[in-house]
Amino acid sequence: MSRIRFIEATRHNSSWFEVIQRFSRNKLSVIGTFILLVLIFAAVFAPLIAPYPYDQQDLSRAKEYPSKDHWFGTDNCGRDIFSRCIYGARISLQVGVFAVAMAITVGGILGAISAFYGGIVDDLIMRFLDVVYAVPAVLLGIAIAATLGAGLRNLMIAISVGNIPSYARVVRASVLTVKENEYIEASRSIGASDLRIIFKHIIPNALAPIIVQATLGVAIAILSCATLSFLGLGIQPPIPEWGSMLSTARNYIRQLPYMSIFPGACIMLAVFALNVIGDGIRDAIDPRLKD
Amino acid sequence: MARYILKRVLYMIPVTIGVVFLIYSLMCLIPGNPVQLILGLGSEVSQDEIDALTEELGLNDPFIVRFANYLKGIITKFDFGKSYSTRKPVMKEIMERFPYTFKLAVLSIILSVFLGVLTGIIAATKQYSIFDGLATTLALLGVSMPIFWLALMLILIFSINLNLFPVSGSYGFEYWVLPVATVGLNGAANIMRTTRSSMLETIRQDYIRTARAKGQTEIKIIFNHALKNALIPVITVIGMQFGGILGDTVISETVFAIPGIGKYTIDAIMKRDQPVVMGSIMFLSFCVSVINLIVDVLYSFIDPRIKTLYKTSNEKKGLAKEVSTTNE
Repeated sequence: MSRIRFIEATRHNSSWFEVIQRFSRNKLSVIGTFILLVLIFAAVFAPLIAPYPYDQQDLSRAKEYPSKDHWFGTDNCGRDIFSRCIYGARISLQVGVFAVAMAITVGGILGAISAFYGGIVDDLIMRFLDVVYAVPAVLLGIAIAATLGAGLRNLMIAISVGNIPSYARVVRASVLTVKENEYIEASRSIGASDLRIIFKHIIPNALAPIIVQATLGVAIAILSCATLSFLGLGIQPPIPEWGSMLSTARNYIRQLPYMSIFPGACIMLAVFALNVIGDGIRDAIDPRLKD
Repeated sequence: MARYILKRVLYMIPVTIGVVFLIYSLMCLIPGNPVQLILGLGSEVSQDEIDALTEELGLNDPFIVRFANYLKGIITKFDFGKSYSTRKPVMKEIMERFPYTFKLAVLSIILSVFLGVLTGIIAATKQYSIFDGLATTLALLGVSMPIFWLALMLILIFSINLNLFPVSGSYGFEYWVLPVATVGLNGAANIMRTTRSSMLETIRQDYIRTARAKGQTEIKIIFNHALKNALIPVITVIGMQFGGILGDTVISETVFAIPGIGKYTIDAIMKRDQPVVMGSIMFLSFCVSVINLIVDVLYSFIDPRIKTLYKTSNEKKGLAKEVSTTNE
């Protein structure tokens, strides 16, 4: 018995080892991972890395172009843009991760229930999700953000609701594939409960496409967060969110163009990193999908 | 085939009603009293006036009655209510702005498809070349770029530094270049990635090898054999892209001050004008549903597998007879 378990464990580990190996051979994904690690480091240690507090105003040095003292220059209130960009990583990554986590939890549960029970339950859930899916994500985000009002928590909810249908669909498709396997039948024959089968057997085996979708989803959530803040429906100043920084910078685009360049570049870098990591994981899990 | 189209049209009805319900419920949750918004906060208004307006707006009725009346208005008269700020019918105001949004969306999708499909084909046929590397990297950066930042960068380069195009407005051709480029370039990145991967998959098929072995020219192979099949998934992406593009027009219109539905919506949110927000979001969602329906129908005409799936039994029998005669 223990020998069988050992073989199973080795096989399981080796398949993940192969995935990691394939992932590490993808240069672009490695670059993406490096960028993401730098951003996470910046987000966690922002107070230690940032040369100035994000809200420190120095009107005597307002509207200064990039220099040795202020690498990215200063904004209209004399705040250091480099420091604000570093703190911005904290907000964007936080919104991205939490919004996706919320969407995965709700979408995953709905998708799993839908696929597992099928029939009328499946129909009801999927038709409801079709309705949510019919509204373009940006517009739904705008509608929810307008209803709930500005703020970090509300922004996360606004972004996650629009993403629920896509996670539900991915989980549903994965569960439908997995539940036909013999080990599910075996588990049921020895009297395992539905919940145990879903959480112990189906979800862990249907995880691969969800991981890919989640990585790409964080990128989309960061973009949505910035978009809503840019439109004035997300994070409000003086909190240093990249999108809201760009919203302010827009008014100074003629006089202070650098104010628009750096926060946007930060968004692009974060989204680029997550996109290439997502692509890398997808190719590593299923090399047939490469290209 | 007609059965498939009918099925899709019928399916759209409950989804559209569901969308109306979803958006209506969301808007009803917005805090604040519409009567106060219309009559003006803090202004001297008599209680009679407040009561009359409350009654007129149906705010004394329960939620479900209000929703039923709203839905009835849409179905029977295509009436989305009146704007709180202008007191004009929302549908009339939407229709005045629709040409701007339509123009922006259509020009953008033309640019995205042209640029995306063309670069996708070249990148796939010249895989691992410098062009392929450059196009793939640019597309990756394109999908990672926030659309409003792209808009700001285009303004910075082409309007402020090179003085080629105006910063905002919607008067002549030159005013549309930057807004269309903003939305179109973003969409092109997605279409390019799909076209490239779909083409790569297609050009490795046996029938392409056969065509090549028969001595067909490379151009003929690409356009007559590969592209026809490779375009099937691309059309799906284009359809999906249209929804995204209509969403993106909201941002492009706001940045470039184009008086379309997107800008109208954002302005209405700032004024808490619920009927306008509701009406415009529903209208845009309906447009997306109609476009998706057209794409699905188009898809079924292009993809013979779907066509066969929905062939009537008589047509199938005829097809089987044809096949058996050919075999004999």
